[in-house]
Formats: sequence, structure tokens, C-alpha cells
Amino acid sequence: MIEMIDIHKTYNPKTTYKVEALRGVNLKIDEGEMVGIMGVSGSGKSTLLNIIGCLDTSTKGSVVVSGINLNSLGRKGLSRMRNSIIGFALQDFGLIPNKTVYENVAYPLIFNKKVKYKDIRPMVEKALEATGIIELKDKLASRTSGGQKQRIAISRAIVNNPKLILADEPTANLDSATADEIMATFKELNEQGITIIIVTHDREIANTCDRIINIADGVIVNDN
Amino acid sequence: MKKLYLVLSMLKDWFTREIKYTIAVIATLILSCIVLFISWILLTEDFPSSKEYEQLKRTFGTDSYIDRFHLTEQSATALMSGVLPKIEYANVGGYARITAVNGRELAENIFESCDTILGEEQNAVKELVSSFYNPTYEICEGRFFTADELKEDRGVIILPDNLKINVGDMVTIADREYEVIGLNDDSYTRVLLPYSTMKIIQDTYIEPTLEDDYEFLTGGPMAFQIAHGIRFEKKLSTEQKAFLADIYGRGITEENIESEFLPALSIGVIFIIISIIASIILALFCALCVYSLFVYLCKSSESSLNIFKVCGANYGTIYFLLLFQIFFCMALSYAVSCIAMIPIQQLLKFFNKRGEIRPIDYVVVAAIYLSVIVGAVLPTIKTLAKRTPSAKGGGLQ
Repeated sequence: MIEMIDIHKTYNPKTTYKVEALRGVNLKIDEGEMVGIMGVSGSGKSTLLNIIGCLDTSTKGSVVVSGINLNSLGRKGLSRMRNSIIGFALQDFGLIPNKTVYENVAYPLIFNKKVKYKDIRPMVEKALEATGIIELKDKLASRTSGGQKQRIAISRAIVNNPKLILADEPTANLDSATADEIMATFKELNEQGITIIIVTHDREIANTCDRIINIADGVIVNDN
Repeated sequence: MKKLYLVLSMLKDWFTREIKYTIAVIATLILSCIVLFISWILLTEDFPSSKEYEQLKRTFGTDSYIDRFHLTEQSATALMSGVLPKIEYANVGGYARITAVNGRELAENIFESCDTILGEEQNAVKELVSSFYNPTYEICEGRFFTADELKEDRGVIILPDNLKINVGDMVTIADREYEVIGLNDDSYTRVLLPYSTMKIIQDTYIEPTLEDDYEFLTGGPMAFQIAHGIRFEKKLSTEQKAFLADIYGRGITEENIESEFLPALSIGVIFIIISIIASIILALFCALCVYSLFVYLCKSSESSLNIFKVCGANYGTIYFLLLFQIFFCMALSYAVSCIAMIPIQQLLKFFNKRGEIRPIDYVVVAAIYLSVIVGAVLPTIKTLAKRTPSAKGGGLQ
């Protein structure tokens, strides 16, 4: 599903503020895996996630996601990958507060050229039903709780039927009971065959994954 | 359909969440557009030779214009013999002040000798001049013209009281009948006709050629006042000034010609320079305001745009969305500006021969407006559209 070979990522490479976020990462993740990536702040785990998720590009090395070499893709190709192959669940939920739950979940479908406008409504409703928040669809995103926001984000992540879901600290802003519910939802999605990568600080959350990768100073220090 | 949905969704954001800034952008754009319109109209082709502009210059004085000019037998002889330069025109202002030396017969002759310099198209100027009308004549019997009589052709006339004609009598001038509504006792015997009548007799300006028909002016026993102001074709020489000073009993020097008789306005070049400078300053100010507000608005949308990018929106979609918002605001502002220009152009008529905004003006202003504003904000739009969602300031931070 994912193959990263000798990935380097350097921010501000030609300045004195140069930061080497990733230093030669090699990683292989198979389809259907649920992987937790752990590391302290600044270890490079979010950078790794951004590169896998086509939100950023590596300075050196090659990344293949779902059989497609990301280095060979232009801006258009990367956005297509984000749209149809990958779903995102972000730490701050990444929702547009003054839009309804329905509108927030519908955006990936609006940007997907293969989906017709008339098909959007049933697809959004299906995604909302899958995460158990169909009754919230007409509510403004800003008027939902933290747990509901993350479910909206997950609904949006799965609405395009992606092969891969990337979650960056998905439970960071949630209480433990809600965090457990969210992880259970991820587990269910994983059981349906979706590959899931979760970046977290929380050991308990990581333990719910099949595999835990530890990153420190831009290199993988432990993978089991 | 999907694009429309996105566009409406963003427009709704700008007109709800960012309403204060959106209104500020539109107001600044309207101001910019009006400034552009005015600058363009004033500074294009016809301005220096504008008839209205020339007329204003002449009305308010130039170096060959003499206000309150009374033509006496002496000055008339000087005009005929060439001691004084030829009169280019005489400004009769809001009403005809024709002295009838030999009663109605002469008045008729005068009207027949009148020539028109400006034509019917100068109605705007006529109305402007008549609005300054302030009668100074003593009416010894009957009454003066009403406002309506001055504006419209009501076939009324005021005659001197020494013509042995009574109020209520009908007189014929230039094959036209007039009712006598009043008699005046001015020392000069004058025939007063409402201003509007001049439109019929084509007589806004009386142009004595000082040739053929002029002899009758000096034939009568009384002085003949052409108008309250005349313009000579040439500047007066020192001798000519001395000659006029002798007639009027006061010295006409270069200084008092300018301060008393000839309030010179060399506004042509100065006006253009001031207009250009003012336009540039205003345009720069407006462009800066528009740029700042637009950049703010675009950046305020950045978190939403980053979420769109995460959801798969590509560079082109983001670029289109931002550009559409800007075009929408610009189109709205341009439409309002065009409406606002309708009353403004009435004022501009006095500075521009055309007196109207031509279709090409709308096109040129729209082109300049579009290229300046879009040119100013395009780099920011490109940067925002290109920026990866995880970059600094993005929605994922």
C-alpha cells in the first residue's frame, strides 16, 4: 500500500534555520494494516504523515502510495490522490465552522470529478450513517461537540471510499470515553479493509493499532 | 453545478462572515472606479477645446474680456474705425439688453443683425447662465418677468417708458408678436426680452461685425449698450486701454483689468496638471486600499481553502474561486459606478465638449480597472492557490 525509500525532508534548506524533519526514512505498510506512529513533538511524525498524504513533498527519496509514485505527480495528480485515495482526520478536525455537517462532509465529493452532483446527497448520508451522526447533518459544524466534530471529520474522510485514512492526533482534543469511541470507529473501518495510519502521542491509542512505529529525530527507531 | 455550489458557498462566506470587509472592498472599488471615470473623461481628447470650457472662461473673464461694457457713440466710432479691436462676441447673459435708439423699428433691425456664435446645443450653458439671473432694472410700470417667463417662451416684453407704448400693448419684433408687460425707466432705453426668446431668435451672443449693419447703432441720439460684457478678438494695447479709460473715466491697467474687468483664469494647463496629480494620488490610494482589503479577504478564506485542498481541490479550483470572488465584487462595483456616473457626468459637461460618456469610455475604464485591480491581487491569489495546505499559516497547523 505504502512504500517509502530513503525519505528526507528538510525545511528552509538554504538558510541558517534549516530543519531536517526526516532523515532517511524507509517504511513499508501493507494494505489493510492499522498502524500507529508515535514520537515526541518535533520528531517528524506529522511530516511523515503529510508526505504520505500528498500534503507535502519530500526533499529526497521516493514514496509510492497505492502503486503510484508520488514523485512523478504534479500538483493536479497530488490533489487527485488526496481526493480519491486518501481520507484525512485531523487533530483540529479541519472543519469549516460556519458550514453544516452535510456541507463539510460533501466537499471531497464536490472536488471528485467522477461523482455526479445528484449522487452527492446519498453518499454523504451513507458516510454520516456509518459514523452514527446522520441526525446532525443540518447542524452547523461549529455547534457540535468535540467527539461529534471528529466523527464529522471521519465521515468526510470515508465519503469518497478511500483506500487509506490518515489521522493526525485524532483523539488529542477528546475525553477518554469519546477517544475510545473514535478509535472503535477507526477499528471498524479498518476491518472493512481500509488502511489506517494514526499519528499519536498516546500509548493507549497506539496500542489499539496492529503495528506501532516510533520516530525520533526524523528516523524510525522502532517498528513492531 | 458543483462549481456553482462552491462559488455560492464562498460568496456567502464573504457576504456573511466577512461582510464588513466585503463592504469596504466594494465601497473602495466604487470610489476607484468613479475616480477612474472622471479622470479618463476629463483628461481625454476634447478637454482643452471644449466649448463649454471656453464658454466658462469667457463668462468669468479672460484678458480680452471687459465686463459692464457700455457702448457709447465714441466707443462705437472707435470700434468702426479700428481704434479698438473687433468685438468677437458680446455676452448678453440672462436677458437681452438691447437699446432701442429709435423704438421698435430699430430693435427689429438689431435682432435681424444678430448672429449666433454658439448654437442650440448650448442649452446647458444657457440654463446655467440664466440661473444666475438677477434683475437690476427699475420697472416704472407693469412688472418684470416671472421665473417661468424667463425660462419659457411666453411672448412677453419690457420696453423703455419713452417709446409711448403702454403695458398690455402688442408689439412686433422680427415677425413675432410680444405683449408688453412692463416699462423700464433706465437712463438707457432698453428693450428687455426674456432669455428664452433668444432661443427663437438665435441670439445668445450678439456679434456686431462692425460692418454693413452697424451704422444704425451710431445713427440714433442715445448710446447703445451691447451687453454686460464683451470680448475683443485681440488683447488691448496700452493705447487702447488709455482710450477706454478716457471713456469710462478710470484707468485700465494690466492690474486692474485682471482684478476688476478681467478676472483672468488661466485654468487650462493648471487644471489639467492638478487633475492628473489628483487622479494619480487618488488612484494610488484606492489601489492600495483595494489591494490591502482584498489580500485580507483572500487570506481570511485561506483556512477554508486549505480544507478544500485537503479534500482534493486542485490549484485551478482554488484559483478560480478566489478570482471569481474578486470579479464579482468588481462587477458589482463597476455597475454601481456606472449608475453613479449619470449625475456626475452632468457636472462634467462643463469641462468636456462631449458632455456624455461614450460606450468606448465604459470599455476603456473597465479595461483599466480590471487590469489594475486583477494585476495587483493576482500574485497573492497565485501564492494562496499554490501553497500546500500544510504550509505555515495553513488550515492544518
